Amino acid sequence: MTFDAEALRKDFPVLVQDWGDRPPLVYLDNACMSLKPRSVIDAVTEYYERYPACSGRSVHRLATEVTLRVDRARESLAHFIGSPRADDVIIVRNSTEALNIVARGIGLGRGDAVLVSDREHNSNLVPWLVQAQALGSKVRPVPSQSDGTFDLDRLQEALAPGDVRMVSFVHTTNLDGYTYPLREIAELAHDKGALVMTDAAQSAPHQPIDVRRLGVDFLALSVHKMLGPTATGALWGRQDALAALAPYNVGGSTVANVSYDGVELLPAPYRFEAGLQDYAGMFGIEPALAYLDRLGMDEVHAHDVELNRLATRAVEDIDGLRVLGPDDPSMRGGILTFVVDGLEVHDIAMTLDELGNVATRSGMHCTHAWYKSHGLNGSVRASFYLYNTAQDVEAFASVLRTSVSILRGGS
Amino acid sequence: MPGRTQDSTGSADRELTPQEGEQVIVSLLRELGPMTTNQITAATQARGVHCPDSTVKFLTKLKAKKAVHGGVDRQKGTWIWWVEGHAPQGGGPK
Repeated sequence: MTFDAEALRKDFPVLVQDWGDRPPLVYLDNACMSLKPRSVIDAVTEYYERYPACSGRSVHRLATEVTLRVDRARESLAHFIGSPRADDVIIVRNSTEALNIVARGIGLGRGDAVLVSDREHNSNLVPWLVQAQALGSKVRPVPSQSDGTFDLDRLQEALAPGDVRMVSFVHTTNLDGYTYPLREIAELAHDKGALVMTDAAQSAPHQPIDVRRLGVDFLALSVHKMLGPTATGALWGRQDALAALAPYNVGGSTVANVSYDGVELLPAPYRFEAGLQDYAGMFGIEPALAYLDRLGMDEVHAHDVELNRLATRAVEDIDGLRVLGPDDPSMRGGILTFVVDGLEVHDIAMTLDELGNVATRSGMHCTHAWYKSHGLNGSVRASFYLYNTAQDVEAFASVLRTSVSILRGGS
Repeated sequence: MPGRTQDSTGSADRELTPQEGEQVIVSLLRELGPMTTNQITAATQARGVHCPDSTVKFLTKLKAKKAVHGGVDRQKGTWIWWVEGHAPQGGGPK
C-alpha cells in the first residue's frame, strides 16, 4: 500500500461509528458515492452556521465570504484537473448535468453523428439519444474488442463517413473500471474535425487528470465521487469551446445586460450557473480536493488497483463467479464487477449487506444498453477507494463466499 | 408519475403509485406467503402492473419502512420477502 489507509479511516465518521450488533461497515459502493471526510463535513456545516448567504450578488460580509469560497472551489477544481484558467470550470450538480449542458449546447442538427463507447453510463448516452430523437442527429456506439478493450480500428471506421460532430467517450467506465486511451481518441477525432467530450466521473476520483494532456474539449466530473459533498460536480471546457456553447438554463446571475428588447449573457462560467446554487456543497469542494492532493493521485490509483488485485485473487475461485472486463486487475482500476452463475445479483448484494454489512451495488449500473446487448440481467459491483483496506477485502471475500454458499442452499 | 411505461423487460404495464405498490405487495405476501423478488415481479406483471422504480429497490424501501420483511432463506437458498403473520416456517431468517 502506498499510504496508510487504516490511519485515514478515523477521518470518515461513518467508518468509525458503532454499528451495535452489526459488523463494522465495509463500504464498497464508491463508484456510486464516496464517503466524506470530517474536513468536508465541517466545511458544509460552516456554510450553514456562519455564512448562509448567496454568492456573486450582495455586498455584505457574509455574501462576500461565500463569493470568495466559490472562487476558491473553482480554482481548486482547475488546479486538480490541470486547467490553465479557473473560468473554464463550471460548477454543476454532477457529471450528468455537465454532459447535458454540452449535449444541448453544441447545436447538433439533422444528420450530425455523435460517437460513444459501447459501455456508456446513461449519463453519456441518454442526453445524446434525446437530442437525436428531437433533432434527427445520430448516435453511433463504437464496439470494443472482444476482451473489452478499446478498438482503434473501429473508431476510425466510425469516424470515416465524415459526419461526426462529437466523440463523447467515458474515460473510466463504471461498468468494469476500464480506462479508455483518451488522448489517442481525441487526436483521431480532432483530425476529423469533431469535438471531444469525456465523462471522467470514474477516473477523476482515482487517477491524475490533466485536461491538456488528455486533449479533450470538454470534461465532466462528479465531486461527490471524490470525497466532496453530494450533488457537486464540474464541467470543464476549452475556453473557445465553452464560448461556442449555448446555455439552456439561464436567468439570475447569467447576464451582463438585460432590457425588454434583449439580453447579453455573461461569459463562462457564469452564463452556465443560473440562479442560487448549492453553496454549502461548494464550500466542501476545496477541502475534498485538498485531501486527495495531500495523498497524491498516483498513490490513490496504486492503492485502488492493489485492493482490486487482492479482491480478484480472493474471489476468482468461487464456483461460477465471472469477473466482467479485462482479466488483468490493473486494467480495472478500483472496480470489481462480477456475476455468479445461477444467482440473482440483487440477492447477492442484499445478502452481503444483511450478513456482513458489506455495501456493494447490484443491477445494471445505469449501463442498460451494454447489459441488454450482452444478455445479462446485471452484475454485482465492488468498488474500492482510499479508505478501504486489505481487511475490507478479506471481509468482503469471506462474506461473499458465505453468501454464495447460502444462496446455493449450501447451509 | 403513474402511467403506462416500458419496464426493463420491454413489457407495457401500468406503473403503480408508491401507495398502490405497497398495497399490492403486502396483499400478495399475505395471500401467497413468502416470495422471492422474481416471484413478486412475475406476480405483479401478471396483474398488468409494476412497482415504482425496480421491484427490488421498491421492496428494500418497504423493508426499511418495516412494511415487509426480507432475509436469506438458508434452506431454500434464496432471498425472500414476507409480511408479519405470514413468516416462513421457523419465523423467518434472523
